[in-house]
Amino acid sequence: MPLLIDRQISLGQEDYRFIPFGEYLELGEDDQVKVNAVQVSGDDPLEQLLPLAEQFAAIAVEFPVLRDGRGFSIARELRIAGFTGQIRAVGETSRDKLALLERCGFNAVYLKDESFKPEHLNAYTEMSVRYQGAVDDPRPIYRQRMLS
Amino acid sequence: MYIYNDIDQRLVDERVEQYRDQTRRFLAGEISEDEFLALRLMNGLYVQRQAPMLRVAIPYGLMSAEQLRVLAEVSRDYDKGYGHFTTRTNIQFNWPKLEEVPDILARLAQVQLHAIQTSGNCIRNTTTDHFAGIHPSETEDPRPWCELIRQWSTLHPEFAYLPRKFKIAVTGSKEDRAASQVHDVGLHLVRNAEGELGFEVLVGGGLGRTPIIGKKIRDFLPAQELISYLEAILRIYNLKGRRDNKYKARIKILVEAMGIEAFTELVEAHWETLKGGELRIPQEEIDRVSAFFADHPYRDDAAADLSLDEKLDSDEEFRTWYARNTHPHKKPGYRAVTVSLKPHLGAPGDITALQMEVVAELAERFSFAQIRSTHEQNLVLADVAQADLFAVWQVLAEHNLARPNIGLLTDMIVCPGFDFCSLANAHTLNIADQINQTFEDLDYLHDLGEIRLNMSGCINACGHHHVGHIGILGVDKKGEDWYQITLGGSSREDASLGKVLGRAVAADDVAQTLKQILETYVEIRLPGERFIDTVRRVGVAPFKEAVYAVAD
Repeated sequence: MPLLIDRQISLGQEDYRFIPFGEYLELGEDDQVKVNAVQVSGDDPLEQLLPLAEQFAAIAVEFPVLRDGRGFSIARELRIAGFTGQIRAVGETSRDKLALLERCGFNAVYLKDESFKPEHLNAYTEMSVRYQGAVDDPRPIYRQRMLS
Repeated sequence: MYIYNDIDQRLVDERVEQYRDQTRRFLAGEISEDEFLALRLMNGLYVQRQAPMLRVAIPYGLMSAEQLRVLAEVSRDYDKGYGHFTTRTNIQFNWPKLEEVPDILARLAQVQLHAIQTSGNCIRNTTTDHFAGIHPSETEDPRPWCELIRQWSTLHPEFAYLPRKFKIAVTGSKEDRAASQVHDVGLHLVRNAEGELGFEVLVGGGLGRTPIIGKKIRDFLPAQELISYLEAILRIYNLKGRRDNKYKARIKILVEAMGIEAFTELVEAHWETLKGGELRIPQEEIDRVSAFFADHPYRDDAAADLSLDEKLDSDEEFRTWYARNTHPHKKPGYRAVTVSLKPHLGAPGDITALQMEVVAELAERFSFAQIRSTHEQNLVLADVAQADLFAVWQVLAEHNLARPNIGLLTDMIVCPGFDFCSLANAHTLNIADQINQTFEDLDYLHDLGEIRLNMSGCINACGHHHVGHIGILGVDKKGEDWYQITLGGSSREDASLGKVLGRAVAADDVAQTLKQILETYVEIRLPGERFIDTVRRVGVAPFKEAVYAVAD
């Protein structure tokens, strides 16, 4: 399972130990402070995560099935709330979602696909036009054009 | 109309190549069936009963003559020489080959057409009033706002995997010709007391198996905040909409479950964090896009023409067509012409390659080279000088495009049904034929007056049966087609959902049942009362009695 960080295959040691956010909430305060990474899904209470996010170095967002797109909005909300750590996509990710994930604020992706090939990174460059403001560039097309 | 700049062109060109690569990887076995399903749906490709079906977007129903010619060419080169206009004002081709779709898209991209987001669980083609920009009673032209929505929604990275599809309609008039109250979001251009432009915003309308009229979420949204507000609605929907049951995944179910007050609170609270920010549309951009929809160079002396009255006096057929298929225009001396795609015994909304070319040529000669598609599955030449109407009519009549039935019983909205669609439970096209055969007499049809008949071949309601004055829903009973009839629906400004008449009728009895309903109407109507108004006044009971009394 290749891990992409900032579009690069990461071969290093795993830096984080992700605790499910639900479990984190159950921990006592002493144990909570030791946690540097949590994993959330669309079923977790996002409104509880947002104010706490800053204390984590990394947050993994789960895509439980192919068609579940809640993770895109979770990442957007985390970035809007000012979270600057790693946001990692896990679960049903795929080559054809890479660019979307990045634009929504993910800077790391666990690719479930065992047959990952370096040319899959083309996914990041095949669409160069971005009509919408997003995390990669907050300016919608009309503001990009005004400044270019 | 909006013309692509090099950025817009680059987007569709890149999308064609991206899709070509996705198709290649699928055919090479590198992408699973399931994964490709999501990818091809986002690009308008279904796999249907007979063959794949490709749905090409006609953004807010506006196309150029050149584009329509290319659609004709595509239908000839890659299909069986015809296309089908849908209630989302798009066009479908029923027989393309999966491996040829990238080439079709490349051809379409040369004339600024695409199939992006014409299906799948994403933001679909925005629709609007087919008389936008020309209707005498319009407040404001909705098309610039449709274009701004088109750009914002096209390949939006966050909203490509929504719980379910998402449809937006925009109107700029008190009259609603866009069915805006049965859309996920309905936007009505209005001016506030200070004269500022904004939107009344509805949310949570829709048809399908749970038809619901949209609810107001905001009385007045400043126009420049349109995109930030839509983004807030979509984000809440993407996060909170149901994912466990696709029949309960539309935003209307979420709004019903939460209640409109709670949903509004969430959206408004999130919008507070977005408004006034980057998404706010600068006035320069509104002006830039609006300029594409400026008035055509109309002739100021068009109304001085005397030939129209002469022709109307001397030619009865022309007079009938004029009364039924042409409509008021804000510029004196001009009319809008509806090209009827509802011929006798033809599939409603279907159009041959030759007919497409004929309409394209008429548009070039007489209507500023533009054509509109309507959600009622017809075409419109919106800007025809009155002196040219007779010539337009002659050509349309020659090509079976001038049946004077617009707004009448035979101007039916009909989905393709079981003959083509793999979701359908029942046939629809044979029933449309049966209705055409039974109600062939034009004088009778005209006497019945305005009746909106909508038919769907399954509960998904692509034929908008709930909002037909008469709705027909095909159902499957032990392998046989049966048809449930509803009365009293409307998709207009007085939107309402039809009420079920009674138990479903057999396929052979549909037209006969309609006959009984309409005879009852003729008996009990007040002078000048439309069918829908009679139904609203008396309810379904008298009709029910007429239809079922004999059998019971």
